[in-house]
Amino acid sequence: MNGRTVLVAVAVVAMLAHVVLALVVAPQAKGFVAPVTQRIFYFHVPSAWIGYLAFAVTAFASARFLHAPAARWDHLARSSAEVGTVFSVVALVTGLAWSRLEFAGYDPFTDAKVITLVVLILAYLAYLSLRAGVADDDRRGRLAAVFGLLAVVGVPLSYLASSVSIHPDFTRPGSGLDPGLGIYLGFGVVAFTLLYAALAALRYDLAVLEARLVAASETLER
Amino acid sequence: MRAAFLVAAKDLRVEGRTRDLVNAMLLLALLVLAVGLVAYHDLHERAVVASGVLWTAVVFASALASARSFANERDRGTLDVLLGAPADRGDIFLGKTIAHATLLLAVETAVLPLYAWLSPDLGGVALGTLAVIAVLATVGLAAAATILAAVATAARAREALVPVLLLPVAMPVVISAIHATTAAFEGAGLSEVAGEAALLAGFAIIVLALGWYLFEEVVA
Repeated sequence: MNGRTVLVAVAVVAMLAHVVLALVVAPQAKGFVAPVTQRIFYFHVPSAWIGYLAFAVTAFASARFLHAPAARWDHLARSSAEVGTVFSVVALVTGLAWSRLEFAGYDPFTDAKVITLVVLILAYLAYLSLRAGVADDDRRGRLAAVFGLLAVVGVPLSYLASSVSIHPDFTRPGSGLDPGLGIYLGFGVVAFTLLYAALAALRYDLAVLEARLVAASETLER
Repeated sequence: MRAAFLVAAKDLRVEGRTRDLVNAMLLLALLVLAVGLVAYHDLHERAVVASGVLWTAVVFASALASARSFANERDRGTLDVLLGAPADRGDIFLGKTIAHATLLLAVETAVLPLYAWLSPDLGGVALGTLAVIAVLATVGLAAAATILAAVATAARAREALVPVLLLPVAMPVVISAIHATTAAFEGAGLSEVAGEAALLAGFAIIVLALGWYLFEEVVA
């Protein structure tokens, strides 16, 4: 068994354990209007975390690529962005579904977290469409990296801008999760991080294979 | 720095002869305003609507004009000449940003009276606040649009990609500018929108620095 297989196996086991823990083992949370729906939390919060983590990894890899162009940084930036897109969409959908059942009259677009998540998803989609539109490897890597770094300005400042300008007029009933339930959330974050690492690693391997295929067919044409 | 002003002067002179960009931007701003008037004519919070519609028009006008500016340079083959000039690549970026910001400000000045008409109380509009916010927002927006237009010009979809790339990056400008402009339409002094102004200034400085530094990578 190589490292990849172990990583994927561990991630799958951790995620299965997390599903059981979050949906069956964890006791009912108190102080929520919709206590059963609250279990979405165990999936919503880790997904959002991965959305931002993957974005940070893409930005880091972009900076490294611009500093010293090596295909591996470009592959990493791209793999992380693709996986991050999926998780941030999951975070948005689960968040909106939960808030709809928990808060009457909740307006998502008065919430800085929702606005930032939407901007994050837009940034991912723009990043991926830019990549899809450039044929040359080196040029695609550089352009995508430049956009990746600029998006790093846009996403966090969107949070700041909405916090400065929008004053949410709803308050949460209760204040967060009971301390006893934090352990389940913590486990979820670990499981999701493993899943992200496994998916990004597989996507990375695929990117390497794609690059080799392109190189091989170019050699054949010559 | 001198090179930046020369590039800006060159861009503005070309624009002065053809007026391609300004005409398209003005028309776009008027069309968006017309849609806004039709869509929101019976809404009560008209200051919010006016500033929202205004900045929507400005962002898309910016995407349109910056994309067109780079496409024109590319089509005429002048981009290679420009890049071959003995000037720092960062200065070329700065010059293009200055020219683009100037055009945007000209368009904003021309359409603002019409947008102010959407807002409830014309006499109560805080012009000073409005001017400061517009300048700060426009500089940041122009810097982001210029570097991203350069990025998009190198891709296959070109102009179509500029708004897609610009919106996620420029969203903080859009959010802050809309809220501060709404306040200005309602007569707020500069101190009341200090948070927004600081954010707009910070965004402009960061993106100007990033663009200055990264432009080389885009056009190389």
